[in-house]
Amino acid sequence: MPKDNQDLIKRAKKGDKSAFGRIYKEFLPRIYRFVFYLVPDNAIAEDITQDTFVKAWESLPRFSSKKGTIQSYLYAIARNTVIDHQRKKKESRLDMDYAQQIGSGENLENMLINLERVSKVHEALSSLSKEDRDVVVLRYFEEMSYKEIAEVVNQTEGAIRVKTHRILKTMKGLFNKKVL
Amino acid sequence: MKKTNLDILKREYREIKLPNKLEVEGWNIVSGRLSSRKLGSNWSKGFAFFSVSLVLAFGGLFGLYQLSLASIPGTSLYPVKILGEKVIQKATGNDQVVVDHRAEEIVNLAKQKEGDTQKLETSVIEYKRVVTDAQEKVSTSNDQKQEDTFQKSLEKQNETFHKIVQENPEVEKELKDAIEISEHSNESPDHNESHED
Repeated sequence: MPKDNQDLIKRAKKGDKSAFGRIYKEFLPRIYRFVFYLVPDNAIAEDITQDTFVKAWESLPRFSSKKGTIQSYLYAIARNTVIDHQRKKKESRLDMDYAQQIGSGENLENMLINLERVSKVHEALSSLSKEDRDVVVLRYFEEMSYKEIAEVVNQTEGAIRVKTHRILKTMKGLFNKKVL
Repeated sequence: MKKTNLDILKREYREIKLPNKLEVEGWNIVSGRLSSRKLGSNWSKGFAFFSVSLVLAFGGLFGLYQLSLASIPGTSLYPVKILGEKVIQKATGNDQVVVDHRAEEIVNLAKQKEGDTQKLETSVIEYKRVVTDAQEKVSTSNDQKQEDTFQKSLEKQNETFHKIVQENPEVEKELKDAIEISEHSNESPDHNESHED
């Protein structure tokens, strides 16, 4: 973790909102795209992203850099917030009807492009389980370490290593059949 | 496995754009929802603890000093009273408080029906000593206001001593020196000259 971040975290833990604002700006695009990948709905993804940072602020005094990184901490909160949302809405399906999500206002073109991109990812990974897809995204797209992924999905580092190896084997067969 | 397939997916994933609304107004909305931390840091907790302790300590000392004001020589709170006097003496630079306290002690001891004569005598000796010291300091200070205040307080003390003797003639002998010193100190050089005349 960069020293800058450690200093910002220390200040934010003491209640410095401007320090937390810098953490927010640094991680916002990444948390949003991860949330949007999990919930491909512009408005819902925005709300969950914002809720993630509010929850992170509330529980920041209990955060310890000895237990993990601020990155895995934020991703774990984001993932749990999405799971809570899906539990409430009974939306366990990730391959949603994307067309229904269009229409929440500004920047329609960008939104459509986003939906198209995420649908490609979902389609390519559709034969994997939900948890396996999350591991692929975190490992290969977000370039997280095994340890960080373990912190996000609340499993051991060893289990994530084994799982990643198994997923790669599955995907090898998958990509041999499909053309992206 | 073809690595390029994953790379293509990665590129697609990473191209997901942040909505303008979130990018521009996101922080303003979130910051408005953030609660303030209540004395979050150890430093502020420590400071609060230190401040409260300090207030309690000063409050306690002040209360103890107030209680000690009524004490007479030989009682447990008397050393507190003497200590307080020394602090005030240092702070104000005059001995008024010491003279007043010794006079009060004489009054309190003289009013006791079965008073300790020895203590009263000791208090009178102490009173004489502090009046003499204070008189010397006041006369060399060239502070007329301070001198007037001192003389007025001695006059009052002298009146009180006379009153006590009238009420209780048994203490006349013990209070004689106290009455004398408070009277003599009242006599300024001008007064002396006019007497001689």
